Amino acid sequence: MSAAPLPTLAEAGRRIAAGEVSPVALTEAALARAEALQPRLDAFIEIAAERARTAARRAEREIKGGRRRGPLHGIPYGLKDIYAAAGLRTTAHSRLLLDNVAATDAETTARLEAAGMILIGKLATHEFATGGPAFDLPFPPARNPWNTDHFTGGSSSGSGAAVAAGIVSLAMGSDTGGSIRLPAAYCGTVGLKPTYGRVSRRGVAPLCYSLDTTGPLTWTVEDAALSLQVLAGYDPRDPGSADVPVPNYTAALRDGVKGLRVGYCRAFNEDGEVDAEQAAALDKAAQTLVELGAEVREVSLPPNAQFQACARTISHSESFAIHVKDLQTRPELYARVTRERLMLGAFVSARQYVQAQRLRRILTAKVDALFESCDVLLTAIIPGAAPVLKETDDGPWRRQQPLASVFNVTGHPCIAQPCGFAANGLPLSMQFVARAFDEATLLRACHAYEQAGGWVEQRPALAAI
Amino acid sequence: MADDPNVYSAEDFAAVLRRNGLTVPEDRREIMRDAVGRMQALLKVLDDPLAYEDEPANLPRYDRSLGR
Repeated sequence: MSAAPLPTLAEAGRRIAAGEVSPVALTEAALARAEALQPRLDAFIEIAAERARTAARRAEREIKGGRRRGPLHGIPYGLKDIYAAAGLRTTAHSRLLLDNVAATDAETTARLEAAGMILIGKLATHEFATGGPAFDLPFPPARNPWNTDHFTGGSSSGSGAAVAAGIVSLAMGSDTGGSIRLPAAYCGTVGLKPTYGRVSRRGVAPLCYSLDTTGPLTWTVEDAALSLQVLAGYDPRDPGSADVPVPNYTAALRDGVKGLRVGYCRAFNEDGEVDAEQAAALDKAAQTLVELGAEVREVSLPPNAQFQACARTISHSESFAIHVKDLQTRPELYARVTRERLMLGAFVSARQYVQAQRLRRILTAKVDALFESCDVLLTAIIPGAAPVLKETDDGPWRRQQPLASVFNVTGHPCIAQPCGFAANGLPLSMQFVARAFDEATLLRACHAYEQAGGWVEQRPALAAI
Repeated sequence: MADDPNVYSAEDFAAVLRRNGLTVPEDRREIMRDAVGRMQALLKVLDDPLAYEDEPANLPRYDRSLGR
């Protein structure tokens, strides 16, 4: 089994239920694959082999004993190393937290464990889910399975790499300015950023209180739906959590897009400096949706500069508030790129922060208004295929993923999913966006496109180890 | 005022660092100062104050009572 990518969550669940594969065999396959690919991908901070084997044996006993907990029982998964898992370190890929052993699970970890999933390890990230790929940290940056000379995207870099390489079929990420969707896009996986408040953040290292979102990276849209079913729900101990009913995310998955109103934000491509290959792939995806029966029309978002001003002001201010003490007392422990990025928050004024939060409400209302005539939006998420992996050498200021952070500002749910390949063989991606808390429609649109697009059948060459 | 376009002379830049208890190595100071200037240019869009009527009354996704 180690020679092939792990099956999707849905397929693994069916095979476990049918007695065709055991949790122990699946876990051993995942561990073997993780170990074999680690020298090439650096996807993991820690591979928790013994913990995983113990959990797999327990799952196997329960399932054999007729106590199967649900469709994810006995299936391996990975956690971005900002999620707490009791007894394991949560390093946030940082020298500052090398000895930070979690006493309890994050709420999301607890939910996945309660569903019977088997944690096989903690995955690489950009330090504290910010900064960028850095080579002056205790752990190297993850590499893109499609071409290991290339960037995974970030900050959920190891999560994107592990899912694309078929080591696990679910890896948790976090998204403050695109950190689930960007690695999903560059690594050719599905990345779901739920509505702000849909999934708990308790037990996850914070970066920006009012922007942070947690969610899954998976190989298929159906797997994203299965994951969200377990993850979604109110957590009274996360002050950002929303008490909104959780629907059945797989029930309408196969209803197709006939009659669905899709707003294609085509002009947005220019704001994000989208290259010709990526733009053509988006146009083709829009045409595919028309052929599937969707009503596609072009719509416009507010000026991107307004979203960027909000995103940068809020993220720099809030992350600085979180890290200021360590920046003052032990700055040398951060990677240079992280330290300098975080320090920018010292130069944002209270007036700017207040204005950004107010402008944010206006922008959110404008995007909400688009959903009066659209069911989902279709936008670019990356300017083109993954760039070469290198340490950022252009200082702490970079053009910061202008296509992704728009919907962190507004809080709407969105999914990045593959929509083709560049001439160099690297994945291209697109983004669907839906009304707040309407992940069901979002997943339905993505699933319909996935089935028609056919990209899901193509895996990175190194996946066949 | 950190958003004053004239504030980030080398001296004022150093003052913000000092006020916040931060240190930047000498060889990174100009790079950081340039980054701050570029950030402030982007944030210019926030200069115009907003009236009450410009701002929506509420946002459902931040309303914890929704659906209760």
